[in-house]
Amino acid sequence: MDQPTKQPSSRLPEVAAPEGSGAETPDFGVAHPVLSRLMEEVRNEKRVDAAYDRVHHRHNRGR
Amino acid sequence: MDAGIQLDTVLLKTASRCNIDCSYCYVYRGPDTAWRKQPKRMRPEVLAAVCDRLVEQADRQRAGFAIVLHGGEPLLLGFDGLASMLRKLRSRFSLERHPIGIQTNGTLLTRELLDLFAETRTSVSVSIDGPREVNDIGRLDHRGASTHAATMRGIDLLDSHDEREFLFAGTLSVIQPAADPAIVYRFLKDLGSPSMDFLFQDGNHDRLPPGKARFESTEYGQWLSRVLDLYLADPSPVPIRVCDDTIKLCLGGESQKEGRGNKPYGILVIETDGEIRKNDTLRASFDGADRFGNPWNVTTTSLSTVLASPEFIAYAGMHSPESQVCRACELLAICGGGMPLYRWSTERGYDNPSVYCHDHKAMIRHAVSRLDAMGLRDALVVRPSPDHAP
Repeated sequence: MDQPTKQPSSRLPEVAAPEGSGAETPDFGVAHPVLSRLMEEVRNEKRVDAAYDRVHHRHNRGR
Repeated sequence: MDAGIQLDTVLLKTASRCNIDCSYCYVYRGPDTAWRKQPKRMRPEVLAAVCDRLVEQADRQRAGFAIVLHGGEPLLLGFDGLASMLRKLRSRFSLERHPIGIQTNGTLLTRELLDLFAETRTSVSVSIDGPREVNDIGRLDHRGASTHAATMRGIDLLDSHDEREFLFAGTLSVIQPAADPAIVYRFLKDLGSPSMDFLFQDGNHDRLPPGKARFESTEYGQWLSRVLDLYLADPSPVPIRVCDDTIKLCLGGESQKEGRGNKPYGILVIETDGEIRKNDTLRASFDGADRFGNPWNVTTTSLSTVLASPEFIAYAGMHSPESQVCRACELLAICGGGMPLYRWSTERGYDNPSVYCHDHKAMIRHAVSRLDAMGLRDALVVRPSPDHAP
């Protein structure tokens, strides 16, 4: 699939885990390992003409 | 190219029996009895028809689709049947557009099978609920004995294979609300699982899920909220699908799997005799709930015929809840009403909120609160609740 032009969402800041961000959230000192990955995924979904391909996340289906 | 709903996932029931006997199994412990009439294994002529129909469908739609070997226990098809099917599928489908995966209890994995899966680029997801004392709550064999050691042997084989990085897709665990989520999380991490997912136990408004005291109680929601906390606190986390979907939806993204969000999924199931059915989880509602009115079979009917049918469109539309309670709820875009099987009651059909409605709310509220506390308020699509502190 062609790589479309990136168009970041204006609602998603480039956020690192802030200090004091929650009782059990340590200060990772860098971007939060979960949130930075997921926010990047959300940005990619919002790219112009992007059809998010779900099929590669379908392994863990059923029991 | 066909317009309309495309195929996301096709589940191939390569075997319609299982070598273990989980207490919560929606196939063999639920109200549906159709499996008794199904051939135990998919026969060669059905395997050939399945391959032909999938190739035909791939030519008709723009997006790829996932092919998941499922059961029962799919490995009961045996090495020869699996080799024949997987080699045929992989010779006609690229890894990039058509990932092939197996959902297995892991007890029948062998080195020879793993070599076959590596050759055919078939990934393996293993069902395990946690350490032995947790796994033994529900995952026993037909004599009532533990299956944990056999599953662990399979995972060890998987973990030690040269192609482990590709082969081991992750673990799938059914929530045992009485178990400590921290113990389950730590166990799965130590196991080396590259990704996790957690499922609700089956239940509906006629029959409450195990461990759930009443409709308004939140045992499962609290359990998942605790997992979310562990996940966010882990400096080296592996993806957890149910948490990822919840977080992404709270941030305006999309879900990866049915049961969250508001996008329809094109899911078809092919039984061992070639019959084409709806999402098999529906069979937890009532006997025959996953059957189409037409007796479609891959030997006679193309998948595109099924996908374009009014009956399929109505089935795909089930993801959107009928209930006015759901339609008025500000969290609908996140939970999507949950999976239809959890909405069922004999009295009102699927016109109910999920039996897990309050669990969904508890987890979503918790996630929103955590994301707000982490500085993401402006990105949230749901307002944080002032009375729900992380």
